[in-house]
Amino acid sequence: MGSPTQVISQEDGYSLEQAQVPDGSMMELRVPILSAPSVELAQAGLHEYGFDHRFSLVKMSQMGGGSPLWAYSLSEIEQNLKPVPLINFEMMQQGSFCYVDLPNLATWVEQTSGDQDLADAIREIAAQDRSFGKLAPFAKSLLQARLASYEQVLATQKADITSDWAGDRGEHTPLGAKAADSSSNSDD
Amino acid sequence: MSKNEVISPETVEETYQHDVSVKVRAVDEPSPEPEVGLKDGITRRRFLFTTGVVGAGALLVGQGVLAFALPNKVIAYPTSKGALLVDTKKCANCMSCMLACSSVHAGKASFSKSRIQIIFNPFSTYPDGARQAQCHQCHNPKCVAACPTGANHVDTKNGNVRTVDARKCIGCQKCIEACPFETSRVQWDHDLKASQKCDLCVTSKYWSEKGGPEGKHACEEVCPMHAIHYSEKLPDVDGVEGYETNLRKDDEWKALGFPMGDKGEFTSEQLGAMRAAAAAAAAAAAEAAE
Amino acid sequence: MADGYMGKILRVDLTKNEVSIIDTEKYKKWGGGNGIGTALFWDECEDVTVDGLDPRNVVTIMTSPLSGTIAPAASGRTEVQGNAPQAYPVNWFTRSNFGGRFSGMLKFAGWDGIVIKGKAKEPCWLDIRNDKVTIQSAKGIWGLDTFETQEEIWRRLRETSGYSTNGWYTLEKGRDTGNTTFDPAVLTIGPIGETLSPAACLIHEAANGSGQGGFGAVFGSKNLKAVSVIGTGEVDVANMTDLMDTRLWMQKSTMMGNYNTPQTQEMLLAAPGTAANSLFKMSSAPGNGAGPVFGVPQDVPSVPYGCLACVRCCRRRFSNSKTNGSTCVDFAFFGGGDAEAHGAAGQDTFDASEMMQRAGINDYVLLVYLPYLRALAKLGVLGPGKQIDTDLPIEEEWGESNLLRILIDKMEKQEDIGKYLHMSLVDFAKAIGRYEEDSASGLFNVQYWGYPQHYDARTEVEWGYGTLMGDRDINEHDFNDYIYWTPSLSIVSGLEPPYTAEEYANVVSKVIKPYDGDPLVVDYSDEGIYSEHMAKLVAWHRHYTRYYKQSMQFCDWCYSDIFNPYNEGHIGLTGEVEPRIINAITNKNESFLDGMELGRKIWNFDRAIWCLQGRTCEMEKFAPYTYTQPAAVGGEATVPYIMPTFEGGKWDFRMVSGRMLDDAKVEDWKQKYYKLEGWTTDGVPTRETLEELDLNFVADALEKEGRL
Repeated sequence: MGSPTQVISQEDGYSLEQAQVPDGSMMELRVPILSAPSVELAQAGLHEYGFDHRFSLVKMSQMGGGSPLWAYSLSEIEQNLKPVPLINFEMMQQGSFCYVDLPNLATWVEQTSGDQDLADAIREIAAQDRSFGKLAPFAKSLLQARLASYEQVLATQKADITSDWAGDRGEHTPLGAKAADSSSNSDD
Repeated sequence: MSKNEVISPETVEETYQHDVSVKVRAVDEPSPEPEVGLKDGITRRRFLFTTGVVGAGALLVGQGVLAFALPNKVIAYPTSKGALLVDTKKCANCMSCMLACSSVHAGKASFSKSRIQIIFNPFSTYPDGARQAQCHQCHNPKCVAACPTGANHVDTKNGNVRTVDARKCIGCQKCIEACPFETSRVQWDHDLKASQKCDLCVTSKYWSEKGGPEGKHACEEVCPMHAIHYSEKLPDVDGVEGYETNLRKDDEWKALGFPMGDKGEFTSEQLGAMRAAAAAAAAAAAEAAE
Repeated sequence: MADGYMGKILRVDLTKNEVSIIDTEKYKKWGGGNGIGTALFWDECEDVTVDGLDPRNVVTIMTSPLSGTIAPAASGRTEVQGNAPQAYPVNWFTRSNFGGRFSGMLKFAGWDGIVIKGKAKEPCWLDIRNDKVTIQSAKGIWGLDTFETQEEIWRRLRETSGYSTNGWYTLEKGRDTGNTTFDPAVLTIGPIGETLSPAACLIHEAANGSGQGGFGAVFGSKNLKAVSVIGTGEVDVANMTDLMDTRLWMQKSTMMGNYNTPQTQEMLLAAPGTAANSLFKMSSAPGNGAGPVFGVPQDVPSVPYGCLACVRCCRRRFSNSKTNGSTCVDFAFFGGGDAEAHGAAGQDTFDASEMMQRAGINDYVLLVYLPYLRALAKLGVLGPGKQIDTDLPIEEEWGESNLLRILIDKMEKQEDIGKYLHMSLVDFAKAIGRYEEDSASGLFNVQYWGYPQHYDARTEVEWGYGTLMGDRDINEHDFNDYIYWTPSLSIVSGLEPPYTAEEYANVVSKVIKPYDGDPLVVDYSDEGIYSEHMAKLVAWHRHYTRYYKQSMQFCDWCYSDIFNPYNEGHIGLTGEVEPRIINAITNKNESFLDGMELGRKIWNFDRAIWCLQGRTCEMEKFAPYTYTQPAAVGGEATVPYIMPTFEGGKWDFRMVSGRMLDDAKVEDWKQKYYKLEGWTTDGVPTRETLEELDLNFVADALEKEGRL
């Protein structure tokens, strides 16, 4: 999935990004740049959680109303968090979109992975406009960047472990294996 | 002539360009025997092929009003002022046209008495499976030619539309059989026991609008997709389906997401726009990755 | 006098293996569709309290005088009624409705409707060719899917038809027996219906489904695989010139009558986000319009698809699937998972939709099952060796069409978890031991009478109340588009809605006769939803839909037309368009209010049948989560429900999500509604009300059963 925004500049811990919003215009918004997470945070951030820690999204459509979509990982939320298409005639009659409550998302992040930096950044984005449709591309951009940094930290860690423990890999479970185990149903 | 053979459109257009001077069978003028084009073992196409287009044209000019007193008594007909064209790639298969047709002509709603038939297989995939059967007022109307009584005739008082005078129809159904298309554009009215066909709403008596070539046409008016269009340019004949017409070319239809290509495909311009949008997204992603 | 009726109704007694004719004349006073269907059910069903799958249950399949004519968006619907195996806790007498061309074809064959009684000894199908009706053996057809069944019946009919001439064929020997280019219109069940699952629906063509109620199972219980009809006759109407003129007049108030006007050009081509671009219901474009909605990949050509004589053609025909005509939940039940698995909904959603249609399953049931099963797996109670022991690969195959293939196979064979999925929704939840807990939390979001939550009773109360006072998810979008979808979508997107709440309320107040003159009927504030004003809105809605939509069969996706962007003052055509169309066909010279009154009569008739089936005030409760969990899907997500409210003397569009209904206030509202309708405090129509409606015989029956 490509980035929903274009980066204009980066300074003072923020990335100034631009995206098309539902009225067709271009909007700029400051997206916080987060420092690299710890390995533990990265593992937690990529973890697929169980039922008790599901996050609820809503798919809205005109004929059908709201349908539940339950997401069990940050990655799944990011996939479903799509910029609201242009508000035009087809959206008005038969389109659908997925609604993510951003303050709820921040709370969910705190309660699951505990990535406080990410939770704060989501709240910071949410505070800049009351319209989900305008904020969606920037929130998605933030989540994409965070997921990429999780992956990067774990990849680096894995490389280090592999070089440290060469010849002994059969006995060790590399860090990050838990995150990759999507069949896990249980909560931590 | 087999049903799969067609007269090339160019030939037809050229041949009939002087049709105003052609002698025709008029509404109340019984056709003398034998005047039917296809009866004497020579087809219209073979005639054109053997005499040549230039010859035929010259003959027209040279013979004046008595033109086409040709070998084997082939008769030429004046071109209809227009015809109704259907874009099956735009059609929504709601059959409003069919019900409107029978309604304004017979005063009753019916599939069987409709002079336009929409033949649709609901388990087909677009653009296949949908056909229309509506007379497009052939240059060389085999149904008219096949009629032994002049019931199926060219109506010179109404823009040369090919039509049936039910009072003269003896029910031989030769006109139905003669129609060269996969589903005959001439129908059998089992109550009147006579043939009928699209007359461009000349006889649309159950309607407050005046029909005919210059008037309104019920099927065209009710079609919610604007997939039927009256055209003074008669269609290019192409295979057993008759013709392809594309009524999706305006910006409104493009904005509505219709495939704009003649065969119901997206045009290179449309696909190009989609590709450009995808490429722009990919470029933005690459930039973000850097 | 031509009046749009064919004059006869077909009675099929499968137990006796015989068919007979009912004179339509006696039933004309009920209009058509639901009105006639209810009256027929009353007359033909020996015990209106029988279960849905009891052979004594009676199914009516009704057209209207408008069916088969050029009545705009009112020609192609067919109404099905009978007792519903899907309903909970009682198999309420219910209705369902499907589109396509079946209704027109039935009338061209000379019939206003069909009444099906009893149970055949062996699987059979009904073969109607004009006035020739035979009950045929279903040998070689029983077991086929819904598409195969139709194609096989077409083949058999062509084989045994008369003679053909150049693409036309006659139904019988003899050239004057009527000829056609059509295959018959077939209404059939799939394998799920054959095994009597309440999740089974009736399917006509690819995607015309009569879903709610479980009529697929009712057909199955009668050993009836399909009803096939082909007709070569015609429908005669009172004044065809008027009808044609009315149709063209009405089209001018739709987008398709305005597609090339500057106004629509602006809507289609001008900047998105402007009020002009935000179309309203009546004005909307055919099909899905541009863009990859419902998972149609953008580069896959598709075009609009309409039911008989429609002016809107809201459905769609595809180049990548045979599931032609599918829309909305036909895709939505699977598209979410597909998007999660593949980044965007696509071919798996189409394949799933086609599988669902072929099997003959109600998509709304699957819309509940799939996320619920996955949630149970996540909860750790469903899976191999778990409390709900199943090898259904709900997680491994999530979003893959293969998951649905496996699920349907289990349902058909009633093995593994399939033996529970095969039940009604509530029975399923009970069988796996989760009903109490999950209907309290809202995880199992079956909100009313065993039917899935559609629009939320906690926010859009006219939908919830209408359903609660009736028997099934009303699925009527008269107000929904303007009170919820357009304002919610606009505001969530940071735009001003294309009209104000006050403007909408004032238009509603002008149009909804006889309850006009009260804009507060659309006050969805926390107080407004329990008010007498809301009772009036619900009453108008029940009476309007019972007659105009369900009896005369004006399509829900086009009528009512209350708010219309093309008309002066945005005042829609409702009130004028319906009687103009009806009178052109029937010559009854009836007024809009005559129709509303007949709607009230039919509504009370239906209500009395529910009372005979055991309905009490006490039973009329939403699922527990409605009163304890804030308005949200599944009881937890924040849903942007933005609706018109009148508070502090001002109209506004306000977020009402988070709301839960107050049990006591709902009970209070019910009494206001009962009073408005002339019902007892237990919700039974009083003798006075019934006699005023000329329903004395119904009052007698209620009294005999001790309900009056």
